[in-house]
Amino acid sequence: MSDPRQDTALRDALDRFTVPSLSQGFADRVVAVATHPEAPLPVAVPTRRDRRGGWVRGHRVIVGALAFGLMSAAAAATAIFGDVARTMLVIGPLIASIAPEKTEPRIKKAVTIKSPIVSEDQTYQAAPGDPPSVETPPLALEERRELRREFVAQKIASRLERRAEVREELGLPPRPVRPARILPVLRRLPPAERAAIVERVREIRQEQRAAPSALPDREPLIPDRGISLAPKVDLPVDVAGAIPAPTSVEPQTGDGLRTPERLEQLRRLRALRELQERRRELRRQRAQQ
Amino acid sequence: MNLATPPRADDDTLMARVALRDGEAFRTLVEGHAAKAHRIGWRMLGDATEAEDVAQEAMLKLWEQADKWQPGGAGVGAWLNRVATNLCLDRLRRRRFTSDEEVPDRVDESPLADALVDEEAMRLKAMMAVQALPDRQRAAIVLTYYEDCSNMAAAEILDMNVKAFESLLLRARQALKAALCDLRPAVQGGMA
Repeated sequence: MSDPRQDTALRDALDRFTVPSLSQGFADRVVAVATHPEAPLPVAVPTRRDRRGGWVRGHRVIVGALAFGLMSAAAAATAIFGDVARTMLVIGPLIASIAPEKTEPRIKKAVTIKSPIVSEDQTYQAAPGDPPSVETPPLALEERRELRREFVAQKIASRLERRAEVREELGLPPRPVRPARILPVLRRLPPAERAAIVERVREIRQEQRAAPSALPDREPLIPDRGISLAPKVDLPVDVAGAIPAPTSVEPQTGDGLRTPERLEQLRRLRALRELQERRRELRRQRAQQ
Repeated sequence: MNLATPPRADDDTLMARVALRDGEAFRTLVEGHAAKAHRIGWRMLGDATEAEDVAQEAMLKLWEQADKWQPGGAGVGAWLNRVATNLCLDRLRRRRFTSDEEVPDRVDESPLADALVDEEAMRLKAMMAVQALPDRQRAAIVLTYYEDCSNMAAAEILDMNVKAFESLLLRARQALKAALCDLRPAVQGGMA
């Protein structure tokens, strides 16, 4: 590539790019600027707006503070920030004086009704002869349970009665009752309730047998086994062995009544078992906690 | 291009006086060297006002930095080449960021330009060809051709090594030739 200084055509073209001379007085101006530097600008006179600046700023601060207070008070009154606003220094007492104290709905503890531990005395108290106390809800519950026990006992007794009648009519010997339908129901019940039902069944049966006039046509049908029929027929060995032993029921063996000493022993033994069961249950609950 | 510049010895003497805030010495320097800065500004920026601003700014820098002057150097002319070129490049850079106007990348090829064959049109065309060059290529042409700087001095002014500067200068010449190819026959025709 040729040098433009040697390329005549290019050199001629470039030479046409001439420069005008400097303007007149350029040197004087530059020297003047260099030797007499510009004086500093005069101090700016504060304008009217600047003089009012202090008040304007103060006014803005006051308006801003008022607006903030109103906004925060409104927010607190509408409980946007929850109870945070009530803890603020100025706004909190204002809100407390204006708005009533918010009463939070108390969470009611769930009432857990434990199944009553029926002792012998309680079993006696829950007997249908006593008027149930309706003052407190647990007693009402107990009343309902009592009614249910009565119903179940009546049903079991009538079924046993009908079964004995049928066998008697057929000329069959009385056999131990295997209440297949009754046993599952009884097993689901708590021991105390189960004992009460069995006891009630026995009582019904005894009442029915003790009042032959009320049932004249049934009485001959009941087989005479030479012993007290009530426990022997109504609570056979199968039933007594299948279900947990009730506390108030006199367990029967297949060959006759037990002696009072033996009954007392059995009752203590069952009370002891129940106590052990309760302790086990308590231990389990503590372990879970 | 015969550019009358005072001898370097005179430059050192004048700068010593300028360092002592001698206005007359400074006036002598301005009268002797301001045209150089003005030329560079004009050819780099293409604007008379900006060229004068560049020249004034360069001379004022000379005044301000007179106390740092090292005697025995390349002289005031070389110093002004560097300062004026850098001032122009700075202005071009700022102009690129502040102006919405696109920098023309080639010569105006309108029929009207072709039709103009008088001297002014030729001057304008040459000017536009130079102005259409990229900034550093334009600086290379201005320094080497118009200001008679050697390649080494121009490379030093542009903070480049010589090889890179020669490559830059080569690209500038190619671009100029391409831009002025239609001008040459006219020039030759005009001369004939």
